[in-house]
Parts: sequence; C-alpha cells; structure tokens
Amino acid sequence: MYRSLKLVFVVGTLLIFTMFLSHAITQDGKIITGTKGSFSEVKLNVALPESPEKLPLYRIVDVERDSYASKDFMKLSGSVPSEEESRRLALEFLEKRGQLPDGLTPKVVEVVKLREVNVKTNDTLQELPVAVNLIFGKVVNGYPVTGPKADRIAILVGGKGNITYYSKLWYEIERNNDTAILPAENAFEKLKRGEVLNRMKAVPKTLKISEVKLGYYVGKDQKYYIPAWLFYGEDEIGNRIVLMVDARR
Amino acid sequence: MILGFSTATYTSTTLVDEFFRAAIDWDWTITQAYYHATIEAYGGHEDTIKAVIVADTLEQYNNDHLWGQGYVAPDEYPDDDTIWYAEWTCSG
Repeated sequence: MYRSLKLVFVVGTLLIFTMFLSHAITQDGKIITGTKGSFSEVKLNVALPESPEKLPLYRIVDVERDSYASKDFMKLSGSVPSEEESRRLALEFLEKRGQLPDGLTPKVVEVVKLREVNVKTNDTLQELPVAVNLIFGKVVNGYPVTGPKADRIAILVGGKGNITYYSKLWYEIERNNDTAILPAENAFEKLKRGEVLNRMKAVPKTLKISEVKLGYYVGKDQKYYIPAWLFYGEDEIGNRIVLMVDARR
Repeated sequence: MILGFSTATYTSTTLVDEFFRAAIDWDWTITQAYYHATIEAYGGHEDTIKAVIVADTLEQYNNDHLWGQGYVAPDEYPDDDTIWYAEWTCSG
C-alpha cells in the first residue's frame, strides 16, 4: 500500500511539475531555469530571408485520427531492425493500412535504448534496444507544419520488425484566401520582445538563431493553418529550440 | 518511477490528460502511458524534446501500473545501486 501511494505521489508530482513549470533537468542534474518566455540575449547568426508578399491560408476541413498499440510496446523484445529498415517497415505499414498521406516528411528516427546504470559510479552496465521510434511531420508547398496540434504520425518498430505502436493526427485542408506576410525583420523584433506563438517557460538566457524560414502553425482549436516565421536555435546543451512568430501582417 | 524530460519543454495539459487516460481508462503500464502522452503532447513540434523514464528495476519499468489498474512490481530489496533509464525523442 505504501509503495502504491508513493508511486502515485511521484507520478502526480512530476506531471504537475511538468505542467506548470516545464523546467528541464539535464542528465548531470542541472536545472535550466527560465525567464518567463523572454531572453536576455538573442543572437542572429544567419541572414534574414526575403519575405514573400503573401501566403495562402489553409482551412482545416476534417481531422483524421488513427491508432494501434500492441500489449508489449516499449517493453524489451530482443533485437530491433536498423533505423533504415524501420523507416521502410513504417512506410509499408502505413501504405497497407491506407494511411500514407501526401506531404509526409521524416522528423525523428532513433533506437530507444534502456540502460542499466550504477548510480554510485554512473557507469552503464548494459544497454538494451527497446524499439525504433519514428515521427513524421507534414510539409505543405515546401513549408513545414508545426505546433502543439500539428499533423504527425508516430510509430514504434519493435522486435522482429513488428509495428508495436502507431498514432496518427492528420488534417484534410483546403486552400483559402491569401494573407499578407510580415517581413522577417519585423518578426525578429517581435521575437526579441517575446511575442511568440509558442511560449516555452524554461528558455535559455541566450538564444543563438541559426536558421529562419516560413512555415505554418497549428494550435489548439484552430480552424486554419497560420503562417509563421520559424526561428531555429539551440539551447545551452545543444538541443534544438524553434520559436514561432505569427507571420500575418 | 520518475517521469520527466532531459530537455526544455512546453506546458501541456494534453500530457496529463493523455497519461491518465492511458494509465486508468486503458490500463496501460506507466511506461506505455508516458510514452503515449509525450507523443500526443509534443509530436507536432519541431523542437528537440526528449522524455525520460527512470525505474529502480527492470520489472518495474516493464510492468508497473497505477495502483488498481494492474500489476505493480515489488520494491527492490536489498538495493543494488542500479537504475534503469530510457530516453526518447518526442518531437524534432
């Protein structure tokens, strides 16, 4: 009984912590504290691109959800296929299921490993593959679609090449009116003021921008894809951070 | 078990909703429910967001459920000074 209460307490506390604070803890235990979504310093390490006068808006006309999960996904199941073979198996699975959509683009392919670690020496005693984790996103006319409710397909390929988990969120869209686009220079000024679509609470003090491009943003309960300037940077430990600014004038 | 992230991330009510939906309504293990919740919450983003789960024993990692939702593995005794650590990218 004590153990179950302890478990519920730990899970609940961590989820609430994540929900409200979103401070990241690195593997060496360092806590990255944020400054409520604004930066002390933003460095632009790339020339800002020219802005098109207009971009089309896309209206969401239907939402497609599809999913599958085996009893044993994310459990140890022996050796797993290579990343390349897993990508082939994932695409074959989608095609057979009649769920291979236009505009699909690979975002993540990695072997998820379970490591046994000695907490006193920090040595890894053994490392076992669990599954190959694949995430696909969507591109519309060359522009990536991103955001908390953006189109995506996630697949896990487990032992013997079996698809053990699959989750799809995809929108049917239709082209709507064009909208005037804010120049990238103006969007960068908005970024420096913290006027972003995705407010990450635990942001690095210094953000180095290495790529800027246009895309579409999809948030909760949106009826349209919103054009957005995407600013790609890295945090202090080299993880990619993408901040988005509404690109509509 | 400890559920968390090894990178910065966003606030998300979806994370909590989907975790408890999978763990309680579907009786999934804690590991499975957490993987599912992180994909539902962050799969559409372009940032690198990595989720982490830490268990004291392999049996806990594979089989622990929320209390009343399925099997819960026993506490480890005596302590062997090792933990099991899994990390995955849930957006990128």
